[in-house]
Amino acid sequence: MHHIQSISVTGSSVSTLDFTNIPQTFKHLHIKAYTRMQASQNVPYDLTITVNGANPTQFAFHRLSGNGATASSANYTNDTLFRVPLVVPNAFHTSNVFGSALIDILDYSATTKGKTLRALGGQDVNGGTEPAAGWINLTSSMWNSTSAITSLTFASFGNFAIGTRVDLYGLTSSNKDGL
Amino acid sequence: MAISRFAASRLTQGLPKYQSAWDQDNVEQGALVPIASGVITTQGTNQIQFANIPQIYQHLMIITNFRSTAVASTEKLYIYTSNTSVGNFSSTILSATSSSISSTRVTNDYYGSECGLTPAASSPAGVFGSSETHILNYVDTSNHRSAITKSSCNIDGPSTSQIVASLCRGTGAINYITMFVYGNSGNLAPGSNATLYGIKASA
Repeated sequence: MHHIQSISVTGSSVSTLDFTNIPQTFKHLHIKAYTRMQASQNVPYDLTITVNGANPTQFAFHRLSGNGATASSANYTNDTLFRVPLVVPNAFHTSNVFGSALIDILDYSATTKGKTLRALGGQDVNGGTEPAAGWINLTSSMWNSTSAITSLTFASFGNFAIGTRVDLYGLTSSNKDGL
Repeated sequence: MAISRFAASRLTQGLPKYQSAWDQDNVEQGALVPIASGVITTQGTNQIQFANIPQIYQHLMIITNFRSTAVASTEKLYIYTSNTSVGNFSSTILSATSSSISSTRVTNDYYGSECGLTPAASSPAGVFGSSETHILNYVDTSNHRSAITKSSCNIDGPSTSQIVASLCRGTGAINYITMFVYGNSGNLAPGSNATLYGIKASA
């Protein structure tokens, strides 16, 4: 696994985190997202990912979730971006708690197949009342396009809180030097 | 210590005279770097601890392959992190067995954050459970620390897979982490092992 780029929110909050000109030399992408929003609502926000700067209606997702009381599932079709639901706590939740998401996009540069995102993420806030309590989610999100992924823009609702960071990694399928 | 390696590709690149043909980076490891590992060879403890964790990485990953000696089918797996004082651990858990799925929550946990299950002495011999725990931004001493775990405990019977979000409240540094089994008075069986990895956020 090789580090490509990191973006941290320091000094002042921002609404998007943009990874552009993603090298096409890896086999898969891995993302570690550590996020919190400044806005407030009882349910954790979704982490959204716009691909290549455009939002065609070519996406879908489904999730398997637990909120400490109930196991549930949901899906959404005709979406306009990758979506990792319920992984971003906000000002409503326990202070200084950030959500964690481990995101994989396999074969991101392939031009013969669609793209699938797999994510494991959530947060615990030491109790609370559903839906404002902790969530743990397993998500699959699809982009029905054979275009290569060259940029990813992370967003949610409003501005990311100071301390948010997203790290992008590339995974190879062979020895780096071809030995 | 840098690992130097001669790369065959360097022969064809036509390097300028000032550039070394020897790689000086740990190119084999990339961003994922093993820090330490522990193996149980003799029964007598319920934990593997990683101490003196370097503060030079961005994220941590802990992989366990555990079996408990408890007189039970399974025993709970916990994580303790040094930034957190007792009573300040909590978890949100999603569990799947062979017949149902459920979600539970543990608050104000005393000894650590519950993050999975391991096979114990009443399960088929030689079967170990596996878990993978990620702590993102472990060096962030401005905020509490969280962990995400996926755990598999398949004992060819009442088996359980779990994914867990853990909160380890405290803004201190994570200098050491303990992975342990608890709940049915078991120890770790010989052959149990754990490995700690650091993940860099730089080239």
